[in-house]
Amino acid sequence: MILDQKGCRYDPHVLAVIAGQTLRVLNSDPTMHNVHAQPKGSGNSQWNMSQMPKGTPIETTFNTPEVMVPFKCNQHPWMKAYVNVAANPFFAVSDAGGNFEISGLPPGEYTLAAVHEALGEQTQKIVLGAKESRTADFTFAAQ
Amino acid sequence: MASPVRTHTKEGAQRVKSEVASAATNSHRALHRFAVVLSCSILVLIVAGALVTSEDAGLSVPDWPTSFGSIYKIPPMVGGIKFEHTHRMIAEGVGLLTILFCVATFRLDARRWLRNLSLATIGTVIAQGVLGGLTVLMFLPWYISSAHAALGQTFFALAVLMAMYTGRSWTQPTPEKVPDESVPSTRTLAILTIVALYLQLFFGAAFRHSGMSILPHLANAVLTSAMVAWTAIRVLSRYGHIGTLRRPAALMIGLLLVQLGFGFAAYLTRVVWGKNAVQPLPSMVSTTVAHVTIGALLLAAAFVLEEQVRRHFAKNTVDIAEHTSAPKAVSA
Repeated sequence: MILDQKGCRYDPHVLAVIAGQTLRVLNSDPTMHNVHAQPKGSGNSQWNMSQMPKGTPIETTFNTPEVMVPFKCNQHPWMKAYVNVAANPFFAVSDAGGNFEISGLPPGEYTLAAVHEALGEQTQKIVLGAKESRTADFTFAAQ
Repeated sequence: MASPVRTHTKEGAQRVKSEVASAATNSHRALHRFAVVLSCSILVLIVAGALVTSEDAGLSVPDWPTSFGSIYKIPPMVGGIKFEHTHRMIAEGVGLLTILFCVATFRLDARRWLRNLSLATIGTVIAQGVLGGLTVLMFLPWYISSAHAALGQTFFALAVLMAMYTGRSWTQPTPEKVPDESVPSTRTLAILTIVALYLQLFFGAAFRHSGMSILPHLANAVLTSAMVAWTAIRVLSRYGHIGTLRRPAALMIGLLLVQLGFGFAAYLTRVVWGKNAVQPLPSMVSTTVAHVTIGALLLAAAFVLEEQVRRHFAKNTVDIAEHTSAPKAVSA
């Protein structure tokens, strides 16, 4: 997975990886950034590294699942991103229209959680049969 | 022939005495000016430090004691780096000035307690530097950042006290002793005011560094304002004829009013209007930095008043003489 810094913004703003998966952080900008990951989980460590203009990619992994790990650049305080570290591959990041799809789930009963950086978390119980599709809608009230 | 010789000797002795006194005054004046310069430079450092926090630039230089791996190279001054690295460079200059001031104090002033105090300022600036480094290496824990903020203002107050101790108002005139039979005593009030200001400083710094909510800072603002006003009004109403007491007391009242105004403005711009700001806005930064700076001035003024109260309310003349002995002459 790649988290890029372009135009002094993180791209994408939200992404997800599986615990142990390598995350590459790029700097495509002609200016210096620092990449400051702020996990709070016990198995993940906070780190802060500077990255030169179009510099060497930073490769990192998170060992423990953790939702919405903040990334920020202290040189440009508006630059924020969130990296979600999942325990399994059954996750999705919604698109610009708020749509998402999670496929390949085995039959069973699940708790589906949707998280927003400012509006918090909502959950739904989902029961899924074999070769069955379900639609789950989440509505977050504007604050 | 004996008489003219005696006369000549007497005149010579008077001239030597006069030259020694003049040298003492000149060296003393130089030390006082040095202390004033040091105080001003620390105030600039406090402004620079407040800018780092207000601009959310605390970790824009990720390493310490080096900056991007170098001790002397100036990094590209872009984004938050210009605030953080400028703060570090000013701090290095202030550290050097503090050491030079300590050396000057040992050379120019005979008062042992003042020399020890100048050593304490070096200890303070070293501790302050270590706290600043620790907070970078530990990713800005609120308790270390708050300690850094509080010690910075203590350092400034120490330098201002040094400027006062080396100033004419402290060294030359014999202090007018005044009775203080009030309950609580004026000295007690002055000390309690300093305690209240420190509490306020701690609560404010803890809020700024996300260690606690703003409520303790707001609640303690009432207590602190009351203490500052009580102390200053007590001094102005009963001892207003003594300039060295009147001036810091009047200054405290003025600073308190300005501080309350900036505090309210900082609350509006940061907490109310800037709650969802994606980055620090100029209105937030300017009001908060001003609030921090006026806070530092208020704390220093409270220390000055407390020391002047202690001096004027000294129990006996030995106490007074001990603290007002003239500096030594160093000229050949």
